[in-house]
Order: sequence, then structure tokens, then C-alpha cells
Amino acid sequence: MRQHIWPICVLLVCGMWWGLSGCGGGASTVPKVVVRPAQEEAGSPKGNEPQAKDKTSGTEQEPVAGGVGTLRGRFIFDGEPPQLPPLVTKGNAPKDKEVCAAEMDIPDESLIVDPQTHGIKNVFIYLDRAPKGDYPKPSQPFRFDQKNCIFTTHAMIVRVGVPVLILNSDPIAHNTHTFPRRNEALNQLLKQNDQKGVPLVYTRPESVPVEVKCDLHAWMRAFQLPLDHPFGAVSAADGSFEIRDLPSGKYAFKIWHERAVGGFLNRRFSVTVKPGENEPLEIKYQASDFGL
Amino acid sequence: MVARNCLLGLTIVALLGCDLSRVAPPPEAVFAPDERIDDLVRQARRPVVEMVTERFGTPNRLVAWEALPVDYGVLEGRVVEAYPETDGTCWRLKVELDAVPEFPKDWPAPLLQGVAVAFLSFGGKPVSAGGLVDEGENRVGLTVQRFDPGTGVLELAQRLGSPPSAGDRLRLVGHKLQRGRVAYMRHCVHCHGVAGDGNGPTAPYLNPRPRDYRRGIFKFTSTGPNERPTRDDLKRTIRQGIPGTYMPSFFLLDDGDVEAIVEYVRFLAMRGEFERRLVDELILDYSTEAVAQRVDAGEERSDILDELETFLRDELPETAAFEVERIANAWRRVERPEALVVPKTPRTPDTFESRARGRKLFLSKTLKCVDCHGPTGRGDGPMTEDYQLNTATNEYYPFPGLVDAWGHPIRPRNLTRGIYRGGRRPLDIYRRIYVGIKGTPMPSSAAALNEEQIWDLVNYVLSIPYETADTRRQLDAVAAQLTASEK
Repeated sequence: MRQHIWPICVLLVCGMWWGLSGCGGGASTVPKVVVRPAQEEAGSPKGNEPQAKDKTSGTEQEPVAGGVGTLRGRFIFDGEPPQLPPLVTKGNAPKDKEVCAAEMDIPDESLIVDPQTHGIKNVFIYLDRAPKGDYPKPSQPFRFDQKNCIFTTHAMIVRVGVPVLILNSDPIAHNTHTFPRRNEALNQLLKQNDQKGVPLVYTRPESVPVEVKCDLHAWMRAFQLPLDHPFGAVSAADGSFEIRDLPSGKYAFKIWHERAVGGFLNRRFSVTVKPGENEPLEIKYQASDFGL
Repeated sequence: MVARNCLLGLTIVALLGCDLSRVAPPPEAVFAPDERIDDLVRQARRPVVEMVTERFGTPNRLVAWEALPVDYGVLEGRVVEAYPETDGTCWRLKVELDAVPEFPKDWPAPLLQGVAVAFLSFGGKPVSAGGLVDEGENRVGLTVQRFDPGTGVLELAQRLGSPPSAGDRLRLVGHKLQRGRVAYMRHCVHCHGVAGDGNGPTAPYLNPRPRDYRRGIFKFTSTGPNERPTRDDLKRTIRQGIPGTYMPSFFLLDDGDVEAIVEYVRFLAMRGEFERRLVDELILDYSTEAVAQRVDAGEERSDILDELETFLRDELPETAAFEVERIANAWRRVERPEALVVPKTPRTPDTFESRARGRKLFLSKTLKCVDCHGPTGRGDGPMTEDYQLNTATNEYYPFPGLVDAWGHPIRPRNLTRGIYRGGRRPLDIYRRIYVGIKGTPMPSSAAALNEEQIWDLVNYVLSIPYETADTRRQLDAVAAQLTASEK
């Protein structure tokens, strides 16, 4: 009997070893390696931003030769204009009372509708990607200041490669923190009354405005949209906008607002631009478009 | 006796049964896709996953993409002799390698098995396209089956249609990547996850959460505010761990393993960044939500899907090429010496006056350190009680306090504990102040302070753990005197 047990024991030990050797999952598996040559990318554009072909926004057809047009229009609030209460009332700032909201309320700039004209302020209208061409850049840097714990330009379009000079006109420190998608984020402390400023350079265009925050004052917010072309505008207090020198052709604009449900008021706003002056547009939105 | 034998028999059968269950192999490791891929419309999901897999492979079949600045481990050599089969094919060669890497003793496979083989010349003629041999229509990814460093005999896992000539140059690519992958799966995967997404099986139980590499953001680096970490930064973190967190020190790990893990972490970070950028390009217009909104706005669903198809075919590959170049440059540039943040002046002597000036800055409106770190440095400033807006959803977070780039709650450092996550050398503290901490609300103060001021702050911060109410009063008195004498 005993001599029968030994082979079985040996078999058992071998079996256990075999069984346990299966443990350890990924660590005991040695992967295979395959080489992919660097130049295998089709049509590598060598450092140039991919040009517009056609996406949801941009040139729908080749611009017609001869003539550029100017596009004007207004964004109008259809209905009773909402008046949002201030974020912080005068003298009631949760911190830094001597500076923030010391002389005036800090308004809620997330939706500004003019009570007389019903114009909507701070609506971005822009081409996601420009028609092919080189467009001269502004020679002066953009200025982006903060005063009374408010970013003084709440919504602005800037140009890729042109510095945005961040300033601080408050007697306290702020930090300027950006949350871009394609660009690198910036988180820079600005000392009090810094008029020399810190340059912020976007190296790439974005397809939606970049949020700018100050971590020290949670209510501070602004939006910057870097574009690599001049075909975009932010609406003024009366809701009006103007885009000049558009090569005539058919375009699909993006219309974006920070309160818009899903970000965009319009992902694809089609316009045909004729040379010279164009019929002014009246673009209407309702409270529900802003989630009110 | 019979009963005992029956029992023994049953035990054996039961144990063998357990053994046989091993016939089902352990589940294969996979790179979990970016969470947001699920938000895309179905037609957009697969192309993204395919583009990433084609360029980076799977955990068991890694792609060494030469567009990336990753040291995959390259061995150069030449063919000494080929041993063709009778039908003219060839899979055995004798080669001479310039160097043979040392592998750990417990390496779970034959030496160099699975490493890619690329011929730089074949049959005496140079080979283009990264050294792959064209086998008619099929481009074969050649790999090593076995290599004997004693005799130099190299067996290929695939057959070559014809034998190479003596003197043909070849490269074996990927031994370091393999080693990094094996060591990573042994030491790191539990917390950081297979894809480096900071979502390993242990991760939900940890606070702070393990790093998710896929944004290319690493907190503690010696590089500038928007820069990636250097290899040395990652090595330091692995070697020393991160004090005050669950990241332990891997000081006892073999040098070769640490270096290989660093390369593999860089590889995973680049993979994650690439994937993330592709999703970013699609999510605005082709998420399920966006498409539904567009249909509501009057667009035809079929038009949107046609447009998506065109975009995937014509634009996304170009964007991918552009992105990879940017990612590669970002990782390449930090390896240059000028990318390091190095103080221009030596540390100010740690005098009482210096600490007093540092304390004054710490409490000042110029820096507002106290808003987060608190007036006594306990990490209990007012910002820890304020609600923050979530930039992605436009809603306030349901909990008060600060939030990092990954959307997790984050506490400002309690400076009284003397535990510094990025290192306790004065240079480390200098860099935290100068550069900030990436992915967190801690900003760079480079524009707000000069060298002396940063060193004063460093001196003060390092003294906080030993501070008492008395020393605070004395420092404030000295600071007041200094201000008075300046006037």
C-alpha cells in the first residue's frame, strides 16, 4: 500500500507547483515588444496646427475670391431680462473685506442682459478653425487686470502667440489659474499692485473659452478664448458684435456662453458672408437656453 | 485503513481539482480606456481606442513607438552567421551584440524573449522604415524567442523568408520596457493601475489618491511651472517615496528596476496624454449628450455621423501626429540642464532675522500663504472652508475646501508637522514656492518674489515645526524692528 502513496505524493507536489506558478497575474508575464517607427504618422504637419477641413465649425466652402465682408449682429434676450443678484454685496466679502467689495458690489457676471435693449453681454461668436491664410497678429499684448477682487475683463478673445499681460490692481495678492484643454495650465501668484504683470501666452487655439479662476477668491471667474485668426467677437453690453474682413463665403460659427446649457448656444450657426456690409443679424435666445 | 485511504484519495482528487481549475489562465492585464470614452457616441469610441492601441499596444504586446523620447532599451549588434533551414527560411542566427543587459535573477522568461528585432541592413542592403523586414505584403514584427549570451545564438519567434548575410546590422529593442513593465506590475500596479490611471485595486481606500499619470502632471518636480518631471524627479520619488502619503520608499529596489520603472511610467504618462487629447478633440461635438443637443437644435443625426466619419478619417490622424510631437517635445525638453529650476543665489543663512522676514512674507497680503496654510501653518486657512466651483460641470463641489486637477479634495500642507511631500531639503521647499505644486491650487510665486525673499520664506517654513507662541512674538518684534530701520 505504502509504495502506492509515494508516486501520488510526487504527483501532488508537482501539481501544486504547477498550479501556484499560475499566480502572480501580470507580473510574471513578460510582454512582447513591437517597434513602431517614428515616421509612420501620415502627413505629420511638423509643428503646424492642423488646418480647417470641415468640422462643426469653420469654413464650409472655399472662400470666394474677391472681397471681404463685415458681419454685424446682436444677441437679444427673448423675454423678461433677468437681473442676477450680486455675488457679494458691498462690505460683506467673506474675506479681505478691506479690498473685496469694499466700494461696490461684486456683480454676478455669468449672465448680463441689458434691461433697455435686452442685449446679452459676453456671448462668444467665433470660427473654430479659420479659413486658410495668414492673419496679422496684434502687436500689443492683451491686458487682463483684477480690481476689487473682480477680473476686469470677464470675457475676451485673445490671439495665439500674443501675450496676455496679467496685472493686479488690488492691494492684495491674487493667483491666476487657467484651465485650458489644449494649452498648458498656468497658476501664478500676483503680488499686490503688480503693474509689471505676468505674461500668459497661449501656444494653441482652443475650441471653447478657457476658464480663469483665482483660488484665493472663489467667486472670481473669467473666460479667455485664444484663437489663431481674427474671426471671433465677444458681444458688448447691448449685445452687439462685429467681425470684420471675413473673406466672403459660407461659414458655420460657434456661439458660446458660460451659462448656456451644454456650453454652446449654437454649435453650428450658418451664415453666408457677402463682400462689403451684410444684413445685421438678430439672434434671439430665451431663458431656457441659459438654464433659467 | 480503508477509510484513511479513501480520505487520502479524496484529498488528492480535491487538490488536483484545484490544480485543474488553473487551466483557465489568470485574466489578461488590459489598459483601461479613459473614462470619458464612454461619453462619446458609439461610432467615435472604437476609433479612439484603436488609435491608442495601435501606437502603444496592450500590456502584453507593447509598442515601442520611436516618436516618443522613451528609452525602450536598445541593443545594437551584427549577424555573424545565419543557419537557414532546408526550405530557405531562417530563424536561427549567431549574432554579436555590443552589450548584453543584466537581468534580475528571478526574471520570469528566457533572456530577451519577446524583445523586438529590427534589421538595419538585410542581405547587405540597408533597410528603411525603422528596420522592419518586408516580407512581401506583410510587414512582420520580429521578436526574439531565445538568446544564448554564451554562444551568441539568437532564435527568432518568426521565420524570415531568406537568411540575412553575415555583417548585417540589427537592433534588439525593448528589454528595458519589458523590465519596467514587469517591475511596475509587481510593485506599482496595486495603487497606480495597469494604465497608470491611479485606479488600481487599492486606490479607492487611499487618501490622498495615487497619482493618475495620464495628464502628464506630476506634483513634485525640479522643472518649471508647466513642465513635465525629469527622469531624476521620478527616480527620486520612487527611491524616497512621498512622506505623509501611501507612496513608500523603494530604496531597496535594484537600480536597474528603478530606471526601468521610470521609463515605463513615462511611457504610460505619454500614452495617457495622447489618449486624453484624442478624447478632448471629440468630446465637445460628438459626446452622446452633444449629439442629442445637436439633433434637438435641428441637425440630422445622419449628417452628424457623416461629419464624424469625415473628421475621424481626415482630421484626427493629423491631429494625432501633431499631438504626439507636442507631447514628445514636452518630455524631451525637461531633460536639458537649463530646464531645471536652480536658485541663482545660495541659501540665505538661517538667521533669526531671515526667519522674521520670512514670517512677515508668510503673513503678508503679498503672498496670502495664510489663506490656505493658516496663520500658524496648520493647513487650516479660510480656503479650506470655502466651496469651490467645478469648472467641468459649472456647479459647486458638494464638499468645502480645495480641489486638485483630478477633482479630488485636497488639504493644504500642515507645515507644523515637518513632513514635506516633495522633500525636506531647503532646495525642495525653494522649488515648491518658486514653481508651485502642479495640479493643485498652490501657485508659482516666481513673479511675486525675489531670490532672497524665497530663501527667507524657506528658512521660516522649515522653522515652523519648532515654533512656539514666544518665538512667534520674538520674530514679529524683529520684523517690526527691521521694517523700522529700513524706513
